[in-house]
Amino acid sequence: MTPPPLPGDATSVALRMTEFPGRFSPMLVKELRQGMRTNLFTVAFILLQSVMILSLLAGLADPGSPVSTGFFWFFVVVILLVVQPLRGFAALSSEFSLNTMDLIQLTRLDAWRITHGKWTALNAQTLLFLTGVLPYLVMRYFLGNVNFVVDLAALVYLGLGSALASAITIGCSAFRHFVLRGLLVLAFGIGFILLFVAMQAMIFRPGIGGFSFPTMGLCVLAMLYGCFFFLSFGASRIAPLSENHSTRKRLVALGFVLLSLGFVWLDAEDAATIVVALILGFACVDALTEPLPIYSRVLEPFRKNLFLRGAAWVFTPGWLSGILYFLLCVWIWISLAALLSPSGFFSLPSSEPQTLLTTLISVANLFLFPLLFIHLFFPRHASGNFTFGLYVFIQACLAVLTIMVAILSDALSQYDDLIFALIPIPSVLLFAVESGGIAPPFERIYFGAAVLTLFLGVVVPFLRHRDAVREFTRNLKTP
Amino acid sequence: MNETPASSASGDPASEDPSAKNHPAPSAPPESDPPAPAIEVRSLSRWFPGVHAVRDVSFSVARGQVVGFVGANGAGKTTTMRILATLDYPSSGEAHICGYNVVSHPAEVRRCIGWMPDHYGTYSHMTVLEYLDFFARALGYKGNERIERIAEVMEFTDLTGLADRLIDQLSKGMGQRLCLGRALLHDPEVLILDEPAAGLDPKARVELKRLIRVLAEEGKTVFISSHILSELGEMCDSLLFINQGRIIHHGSSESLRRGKAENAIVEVHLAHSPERLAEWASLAPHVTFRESTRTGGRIEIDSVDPTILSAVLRRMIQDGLPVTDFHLQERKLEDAFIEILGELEAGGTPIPT
Repeated sequence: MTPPPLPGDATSVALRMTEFPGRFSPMLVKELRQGMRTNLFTVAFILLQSVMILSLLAGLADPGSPVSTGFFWFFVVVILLVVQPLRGFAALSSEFSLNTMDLIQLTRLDAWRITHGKWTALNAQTLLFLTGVLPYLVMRYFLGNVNFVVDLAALVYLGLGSALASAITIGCSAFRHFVLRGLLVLAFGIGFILLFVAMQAMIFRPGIGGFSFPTMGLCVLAMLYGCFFFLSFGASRIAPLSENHSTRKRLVALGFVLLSLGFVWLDAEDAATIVVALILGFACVDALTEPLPIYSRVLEPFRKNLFLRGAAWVFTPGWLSGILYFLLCVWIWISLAALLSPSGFFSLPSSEPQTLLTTLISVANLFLFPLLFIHLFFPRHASGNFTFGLYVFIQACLAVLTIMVAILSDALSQYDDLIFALIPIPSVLLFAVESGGIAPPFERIYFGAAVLTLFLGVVVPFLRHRDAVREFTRNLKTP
Repeated sequence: MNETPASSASGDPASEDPSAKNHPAPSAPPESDPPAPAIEVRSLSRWFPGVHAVRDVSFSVARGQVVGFVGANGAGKTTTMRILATLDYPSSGEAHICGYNVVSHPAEVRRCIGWMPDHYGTYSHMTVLEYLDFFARALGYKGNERIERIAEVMEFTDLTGLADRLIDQLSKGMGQRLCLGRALLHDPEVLILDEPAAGLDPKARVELKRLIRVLAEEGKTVFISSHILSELGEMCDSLLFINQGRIIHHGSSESLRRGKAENAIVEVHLAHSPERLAEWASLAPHVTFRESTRTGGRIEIDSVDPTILSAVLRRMIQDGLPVTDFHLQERKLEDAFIEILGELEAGGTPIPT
């Protein structure tokens, strides 16, 4: 029902729009106004309160009962990790379907502020849920058999998880195609759950994962990067060509790598390596699949001197510089492996460094290979809105193929090498290295294959799009 | 997305106005003498894979003019307008708004223009007031200035009474007024309106026309596209016809209505004795009687010069004809448009620009 218009002239009517301070992000204000009026928010809030009351009553009847505790946490987890993040599923795509994205882009809001504002608004609503749960947490403590500090920490951890999950859905919502969006949310959602549970095991169950503050710090770092990555991923997909989000995105990834490496000196070497690998992996996939058209104005800051012109080849938007950024990440990845080996892997006995190098290059090739495939067979889709979807699809197909090869080689173990040779993809090469790479006759072949794949992966896209490379070089010199 | 817009990004040497960062009003346009036209398009082309949407389009619109942009569906109107609004990129050629290149200075162009798309975008779960407040905030208005701008726009578009109405409960006409209000929030110099009257009922259409007329009187440049040619004819100083991505006519609606004719057809009504008109016409110079009607008839005058036309009318009155109505019979704009298209198809030359 619409309330009747309030009396007064236009100024006094407009004066009512001061409930949110002017320094708040316009997108945050808009999303809060809209979001808190939706039925989903209202129903979820009332439902959570009802469930909390019921769980409290059950706790009163039987203090410390696992049923009431399970009931309590189940609904908190569902609301924070499922309902709230899924509300961001169409956050950006709806702006396209409502024809409002153009209107917003004509204002002073850039794509990052749009995406970030939506995420902040969703988190502000999550905070409302969390504060709604807090009194029941205190009451449960008074009923007994509850460790308040652990419960509070768990609630904060869930809040952080909700922030990351929301960033994933909002980032993926930049894709307008419902099916692609759904598949991406599903894939990243599964990855998120696995990572979240693993981190939870490390933080909250010391017996299983070996609890340590550095590990917890790394988990928080990984979550923060995750939020940044998915938000900027979404932002760069909705941004007009005149906006450059790639430079910041790629530099921030390197910054996070540096921060993670700091934890190596805090005895969290393994966890730090995993976090670095995750950061570099995500940053590379994003860089390799960015649409290419370069807007002349984006290159303006890079034209100032030779150093910046060189940096443009690594940090400007598009897959062209993405490939060179990928090479930089590969170099970091291999250097890290060399540094973190007991005394550097190049000082190991002769056969092992080569095998390790083959493995590392093959891991890098896993990221590059779908791009090579796209540039060879789908050159028209090498730079557009479908590139990322196509990349993920090819990656999924390659994963299925690898599983099939593994099953086949298991069944026909004497033809292992023949099967591996017939399916020349990096994942199969990794599998081959795993099962026979130490054997001297194959060692060099595998190494050669890995290097050749990397070389082709880098060279073929450049050759296929020579005009684009020339155009980029020309634009970098003169506007 | 294979084309590289960078190839067309040749901008003006206009420098960034630092004050513009803190104030939403358009920054000063680049110095030029005489002042740059409100809209200037030079050899603009836009192609998508398999489609050449706009081909070598050139035109210019002086400041303070109301210009109608006419063409069939798919003629290239919206693509051209989107490029002017910095929402799309030219494949080649240049477009300038108030002297700023749309490719190299999009931020400055955005401060100069108010854009109203054919499908106006609004939100659910949001009131009219909240909608305007969101865009005012997004345009950088703060504090009292924001309140003042919202109030001014609500008053101008007569939305004050609807301030608390949810947007999805608005009629199409109210929605268009809201959309126009949004486009006016930052008081732009140039308004680009894409089919603003589409789907409106007659009352809402009249209201929209009134608002546009007021804006034109305030000195705003209005670039408006519509299918309803007669309405554009009344509102616009000049009309631009586009067909298959090419401009086929640019001129006033009067010149269009007149066409290439060298003679004027005038319809005359007399208070009584309509048969006297034919008799009079047979004796008068420059005049030929064409046909009679119930209250008079149609005469042909062998000139379109207004002084000759007024001389003919004066003579009629002097000769005692009881004239109650004397008006030029003009072509309808729709007919003119079709005629131009026909001439083009036949390989003829369209009405010169």
